[in-house]
This record gives sequence, structure tokens and C-alpha cells, in this order.
Amino acid sequence: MAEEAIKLGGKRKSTFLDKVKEILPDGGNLNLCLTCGACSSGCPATGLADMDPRKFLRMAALGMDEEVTKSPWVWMCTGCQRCIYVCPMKIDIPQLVYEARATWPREERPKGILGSCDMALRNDSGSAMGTSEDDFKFVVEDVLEEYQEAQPEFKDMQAPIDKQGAEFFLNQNSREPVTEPDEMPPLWKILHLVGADWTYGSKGWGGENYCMFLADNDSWEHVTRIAAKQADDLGCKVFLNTE
Amino acid sequence: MSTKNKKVMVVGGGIAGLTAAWELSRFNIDVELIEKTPFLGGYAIQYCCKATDECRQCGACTVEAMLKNVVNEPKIKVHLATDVEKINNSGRFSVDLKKSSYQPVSATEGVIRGYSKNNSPLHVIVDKEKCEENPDAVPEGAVELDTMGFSGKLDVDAVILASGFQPFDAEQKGTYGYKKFPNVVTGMDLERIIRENATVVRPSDGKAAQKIAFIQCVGSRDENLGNLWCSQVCCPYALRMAETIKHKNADAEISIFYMDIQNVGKNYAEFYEKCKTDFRFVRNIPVDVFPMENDSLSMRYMNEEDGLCINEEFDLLVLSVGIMPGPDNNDLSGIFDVGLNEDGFFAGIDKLNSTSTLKGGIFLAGTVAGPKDIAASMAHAGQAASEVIKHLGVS
Repeated sequence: MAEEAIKLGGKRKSTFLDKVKEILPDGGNLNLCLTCGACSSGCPATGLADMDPRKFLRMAALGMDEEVTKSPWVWMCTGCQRCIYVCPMKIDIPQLVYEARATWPREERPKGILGSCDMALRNDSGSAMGTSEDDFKFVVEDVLEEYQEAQPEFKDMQAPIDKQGAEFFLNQNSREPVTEPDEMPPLWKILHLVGADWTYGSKGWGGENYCMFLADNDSWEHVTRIAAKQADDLGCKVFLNTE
Repeated sequence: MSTKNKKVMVVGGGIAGLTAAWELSRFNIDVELIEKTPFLGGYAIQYCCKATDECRQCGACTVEAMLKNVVNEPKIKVHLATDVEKINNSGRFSVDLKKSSYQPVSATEGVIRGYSKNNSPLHVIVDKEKCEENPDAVPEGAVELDTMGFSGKLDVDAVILASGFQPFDAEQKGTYGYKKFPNVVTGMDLERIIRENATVVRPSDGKAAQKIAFIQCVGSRDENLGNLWCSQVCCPYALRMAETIKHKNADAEISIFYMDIQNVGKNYAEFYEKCKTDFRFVRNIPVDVFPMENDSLSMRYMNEEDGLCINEEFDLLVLSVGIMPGPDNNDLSGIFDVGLNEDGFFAGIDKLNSTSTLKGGIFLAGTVAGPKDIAASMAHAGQAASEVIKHLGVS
């Protein structure tokens, strides 16, 4: 006598992977993996914390939600999206990583990223260094003056802040005005030489957005909206995001 | 019914077109065989024999045999360097032919040569100026490409489209460095290298390659490229090729990077088991290739044992490129009013009858209708020929 057929009981429980598929266009192609491992061959974070993109996706597909979402590896992914670029099936692994980050209690997320996001929320500069509007203005003017004097061919170069009606709104990694101010003028020079009409904003000049890397959607949006509003208020046509 | 005056045009002189033409001629049907290049044989004639101490049934030799059959068969009239310009269907098909616009992809010499000794002409002059510089280098019997090709009209009773495929253009997978690094070659290139040198040499220095990597599924099964199909031939050709290399050079170290092996074909399961003892199989598709000073290639991939990425050096990297729809499919689809499927191959009526089309009197043979190896192309061409015979009421 044949044994009775095995019946699979109950509904399959919704997994972390299912939830992420629901919010992504085409489910992020997350169920199309051919397990070829191209993602892992090209990933700078492969092998860190005993994890790689293929393993991460396979574990998620197997419903190992705890192991996947709690892996410290989710914070080692740089979000560079190279895995999507090389994936034959265009699978959106970085978004899966992002959603895994978002499952962490905010206070347990890595201190460096958390602290930088919180700094950016302190004032309207968007700067992860917490640099104030006045300090930024002072550094830009000081550096500009120095270059105008030292390099006569750039004596007419400008680095305006809040110039009404400029075509381009430029932001700036906020580490540079604080620790590497000489990193700023090369881009000013290019813009000067091509005759671009550009401006920084006193608000929203900080280009980095650690709140995005923190997977803190509300704060990410807050920081982004300040910069976008400043660009709109100044009547700029193009937002040049340098980060 | 008499076969008198029945005439069929076959478009494409690769293995499918040759086979279809030959099969039709067995029924006393006159065949007009149209080939856009100056040579018969298509891609299949360029493949090398994969025998080790036994025949591996790669089919390469059958192409040579079929080509010889065709050129010696008076009922088959061959038009080289010729394209179909237009066709009218009024009972019979009235076809306008023209000299093809064929130009060799990369002719460094003034003369190009066919791959088969049965090609006639065997040598074709593509650059007269170069030949005039060094007339002694021009082989006897060489024909100028400009003088080849047929412009004129034909009336035929049926058409077989056998215009074939094109190998995937590996430059589209930019991180592998094909055409940037000399020792990154395709499976197709390797066939020619072995055919010309009788062994595997590195293009950069002509020295024997000891450490060789094959990467599978290059261009196939790829949503990013819109090529979701399995090309079916790449696993068999890569493994047969690797066995051929190993047979000639027992010290060769061969690695196969794959996602899964398409184990198709007669005796293939047994053959695959042997391969597993002869080569290293790595279940990982590498991404980055870096050139080294000696023209070797450093390749980054994930080692499955420890989950870490490693860089490993190889003498030669072979990309197992897949079968893509023919470059003329869109044009031919317009001329013959036969639709393509979503992948860009010609669509047969259904899976069980992939040689007939929705257009009565027009039939498909070989890779024009989707990926096939030599044996499958020949079988498909035979099926197409028998459908034509049914259609014409010949027996």
C-alpha cells in the first residue's frame, strides 16, 4: 500500500522577502535569481561577515528572516548597485539590503551613520558635520579670496551662496569645507571656465545624506526636501548633486 | 504528381540551408541556394573537430560532407554574395535578387579564404589595392568580390528560410574586456584558432595556453540584455572543446565557470561525468577581468568553499557566447511577411511544427527559428524539406 500523500499544512507565512517584493516595481525581480553568483563576484563586500549578495538573497528566499535582517553585513553593503549591473536578471539586491536595515531599531543602527544623520537634522544645512550656515559661508568666501589672489587667471571666479535665479544649484560634501577646503575650488574652476551660472544654498548645501544610508526614510526625506525647497526658492533650474 | 519544373529557393548556405537544399534535390526538385557571403558553410564550417581518442559527435565533419554534396549536385544552383531584395506571391513566388552588400568584418589582407577546401571560389579578393601591392600573394583562382553576386529574377514554388544566427557580441559584456585584452576570446574564436593552428594558442604571443578558463552563459539567459533563452549549444561546445584541449595537452589546467550545465545530447550525461574528473567546475560567474603584464588575465570571482573573493590568473579566457537571432531577421521578416517571435527568431506555426510558417509556401530551417546545434539544425532542415515536399504535392 502506498503511503498517504504528504500534505503541506497551512498557509505559507509571509516572509521578509515577500514584504520587500510587495513594495518594489516588478517585485525587484527578487524571485528570478539563477544563483549564478555574478553579484558576489563583483561585490566589494563579498566575504565580509561571512556573507555575500547571493547568499543573502538565497537566505531571504528560504525565509531565514532573522539571520538575514540581523546580519551586520547589511551595514557593510555600500549600496553601489554593482550587483544589479552585473546580474543577468536585474535583481534589486541593494533594495533588499535597505529594507533589512530598516528593520533594525533606530538606536541599534551603526553609530557612525546614525550620528551623521542626527547631525544633519540639527540645522538646515544638511551637513553631516553639523556645520552651520555661517561657518560654511565664511569658509567659502575665505577660500575663494585666497584663490582669486594666488591664481590671477581665476581672479574673476565666483562661489556664490543663495544667488537668486542661478541656473544650477550645487551642493557640497560637508567634510570638505571643514577638513579639506582645498578640495572645493577644482569644481569651481571648471564651472567658472565653462561659464556656468551656479550657486550654493545657505540651506541644504550639505550633499551627503547619511539618513538614506541609515534607512531612516522620514529623515532622508526631511533633509532632501530642505535642499530641494532652497533650490526652488532661488529659482534654480538644475540641481547638481555632487554626492 | 510530376516534379517537373518544381523549384525551391533556399535562403542561407549554412548547415541548415545546405541540408535542406540537398534533401530537396533528392526529390528531383531544382534548388536555388542564396548565400549573402562569398562562401558556403556558414558558421558551422568554421568549427573544429572535437574528437579525442573517440568521436564526440560534434557534427563538424558532417558540415564538410554536406557542403561537398551540395557543390557537386547539378540540381542545386548556388548564388554566392547574393541577397533577396523582394518577393511577390502570385501562386508562384517571383523573387528579385541583388548582389549582396556583404563586407568582411575584419579583413587585414586583401584576400579572404573559405573554411572548406570545397568552397568555390576558395579565395576572394576583397581589397584590390592591397592585392596590387603584392600580386604574388594572391592565390591562383582568386575571384574579385565585386564580380560575384547575382542580380535578377527567379520564379520559385516555395521558399525555405535558413539564414541562421549570429554569435553573441561579447563586447556587450564590457567587464570581460573582449577585444580590449587579446587573450579574451569567444568560443567561436577558439574554434577558428584550433582550426588554423591545430592547437590552442594565445592570440597575444602564439604560445600554447596552459591555464584556461571558460565562462558559460555569456549573452544567454540574460534579462538585462533581453536574451532570456538558453542557447543550448554552449555547454556541449565548451566541454567538448575543453576535452579536446586536455586530450592534446594532459597538463592543461581548465576551469569551467558556470551557473548550471545544460546536459543535453546523446551520451552527454556520461561525458559530463568524465569532464568532472578532468576539469575544475566552479559554480560562479566571474565579473571582473584585469590584464596582467604578460598578457595573462587576472579574474575575480567568489570561491564557494570559503565565500571569499579571490583573484586568479589565467593564460586564456574563453567566453561561451550564445546563439542570437540573425542580423537580417528584421529585414527578412519584412520581405517575406513572416513574423518573428518575442526573442527575435522566426516563428513557426507551433512547437510541434516549427518549420511551417503562417505564410503558405514559406518554411524555416535551422537556427533561424531558434538555437540549435549542428545535428538539430540538420534534422530541422530535413523536416522543413519534407514539409515543402508535402506542400508541393511531390512524392
